[in-house]
Amino acid sequence: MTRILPLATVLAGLATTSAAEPMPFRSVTVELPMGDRSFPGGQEAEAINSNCLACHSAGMVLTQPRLTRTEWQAEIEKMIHAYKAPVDPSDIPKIVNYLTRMKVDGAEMTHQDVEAVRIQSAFGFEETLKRLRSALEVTGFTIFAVIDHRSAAQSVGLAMPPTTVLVFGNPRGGTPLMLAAPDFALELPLRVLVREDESGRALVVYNAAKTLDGKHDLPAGMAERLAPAGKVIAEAVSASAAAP
Amino acid sequence: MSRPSMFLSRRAVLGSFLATVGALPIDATASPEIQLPFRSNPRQRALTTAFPGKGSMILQRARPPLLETPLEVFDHSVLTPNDRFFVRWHWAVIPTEIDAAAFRLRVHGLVERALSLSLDEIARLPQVEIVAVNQCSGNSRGLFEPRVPGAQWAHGSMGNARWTGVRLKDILDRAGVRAGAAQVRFDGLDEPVVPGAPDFRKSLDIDHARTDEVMVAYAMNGDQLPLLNGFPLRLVVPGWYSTYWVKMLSDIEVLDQADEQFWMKTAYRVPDTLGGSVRPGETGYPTVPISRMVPRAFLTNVAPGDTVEAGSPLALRGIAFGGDCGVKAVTLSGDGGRTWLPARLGTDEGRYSFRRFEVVLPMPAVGELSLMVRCTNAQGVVQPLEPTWNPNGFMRGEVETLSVTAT
Repeated sequence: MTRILPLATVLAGLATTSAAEPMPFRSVTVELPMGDRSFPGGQEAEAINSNCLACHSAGMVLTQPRLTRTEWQAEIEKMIHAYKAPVDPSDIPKIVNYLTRMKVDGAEMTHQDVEAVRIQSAFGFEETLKRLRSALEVTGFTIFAVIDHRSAAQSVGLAMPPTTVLVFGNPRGGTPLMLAAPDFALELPLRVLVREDESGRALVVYNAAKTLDGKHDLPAGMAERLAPAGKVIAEAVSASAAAP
Repeated sequence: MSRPSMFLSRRAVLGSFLATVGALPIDATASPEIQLPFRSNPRQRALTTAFPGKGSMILQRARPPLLETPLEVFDHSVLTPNDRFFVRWHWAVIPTEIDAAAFRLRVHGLVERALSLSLDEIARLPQVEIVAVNQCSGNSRGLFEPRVPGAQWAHGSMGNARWTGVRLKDILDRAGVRAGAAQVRFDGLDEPVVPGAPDFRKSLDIDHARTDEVMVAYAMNGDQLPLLNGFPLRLVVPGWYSTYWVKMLSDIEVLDQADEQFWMKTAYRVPDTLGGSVRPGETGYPTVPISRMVPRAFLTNVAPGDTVEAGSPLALRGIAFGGDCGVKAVTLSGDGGRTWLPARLGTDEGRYSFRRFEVVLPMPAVGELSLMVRCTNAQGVVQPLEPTWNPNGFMRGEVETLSVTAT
């Protein structure tokens, strides 16, 4: 570092320097890095990439800690209302979804393609439900509740395709997770959804164990202990399950 | 359990992880990395040398730039070198070309005569200098628990420099402040990308603006300011958070009432409580614009997770500052706060400067050592042991704890 100004004694607060030559100024021209990174995730990142990158690069967003949907929503609204970001209103939920689904990792948030596992059952709706109940019970799970959303809808005069959630679990599997991370009890017992789509096919949807990893401070890798449930579900509704 | 530490690693050690996440940002593929001492991920950042006038800096965001000073820099000298001094811009429209001869500082508003001052005219006013800490309101935000959104800084969005320039008061006197002045508003050359977005401007009360201490600086550590630190002029508000230290200062406006615009009324506000703290989740508390800094202290020659020798004296050193006044004392605890040893203070560079300190921990026993350093400022304010928390992640001031292992 070159010292071009004379030394001065600092007394209290600001000190007047002794008989200084006026500061000579050099004009400055610099080039600033563009920071042309974009958000990963291809099509799912389209909304965030097209709305957000005009004002800032992706770096600071990708290094946020895990934030809730509400917190991300608040951030996006701050961008729109306080900072006048011209975000297409129809893109707001897409951006919030994208950010909420990001997985927080060592270096930065990474894109997660799949939030829930969705498989098409080889059977019809009722048969799928029956097979799932039986497969889960045979493998040691207890069915705690069967939530029939369609019946509930019909009871208030609303129509809805067949949609049923099974709530199931096994204290032997779940308890160690809740002991390791007490708030993880919010995620248990497990659930599996069976629903009929518009073409009459039965779909089975459940949260993959890995998407629960680290949630509520669950120690890394521990969610894997929930993986067997997914395997039971997938096998129960696959075509090979129909074979004798 | 492994702890985060400030060691440098290479992308290579992450090979297996990276292979699973696909495309890498091009600008980070070959860059060295640093781990920030946060309690949860993401902790890793790239180090970059891609910015003009800057050496190796922690890349928090490329555009507009947020560049953090690695903590080890503070171990080398009481003044933070210009090329390692942190950088923080709000808006991405930053002039990249400044003609020193054509630049003018405008002074207007409630004044006898509006001024348009060239740099040479300013340089002919009485020259003053001060050593002062410039610290971001959100310094250390990444260490907040529970964590909060915002730039995830570790401790390096601060720096200490010798600022040279002129008293703001002398400039205001040349313009002649008229009766009824309430505040003085400062604006720089940076601009929002989007029309209608709030231009970054900050204001000080007229009485504060007219003190001897507030200055318009044109030099930093003896050289003109790096562009990214505000060339050619920057407001220096000793003892106050750097949000007021407006960079590329080009416009000074004397107001007849309190500034009601976004950056004063909505942004950069803290709970009106001692130390700016509230309980997580608390609502309904009054807020005030952030202002004076609080005392802080940091160890600079050890990093979290380091291994030290048990049974032999452990020489520790670091930096402290009093916030809005000088440092009275620094103490160190090697046993998690049960007993405290006085540190020896280094040269006094003035009440707003970093103060270096040294202390020897006599005989660390084998095992984990919880090192804490605590500053008491000249007004007797002692750093609290209780954590600072507010939803914006401002004003962290608690005693910092750093764990090392003695073997």
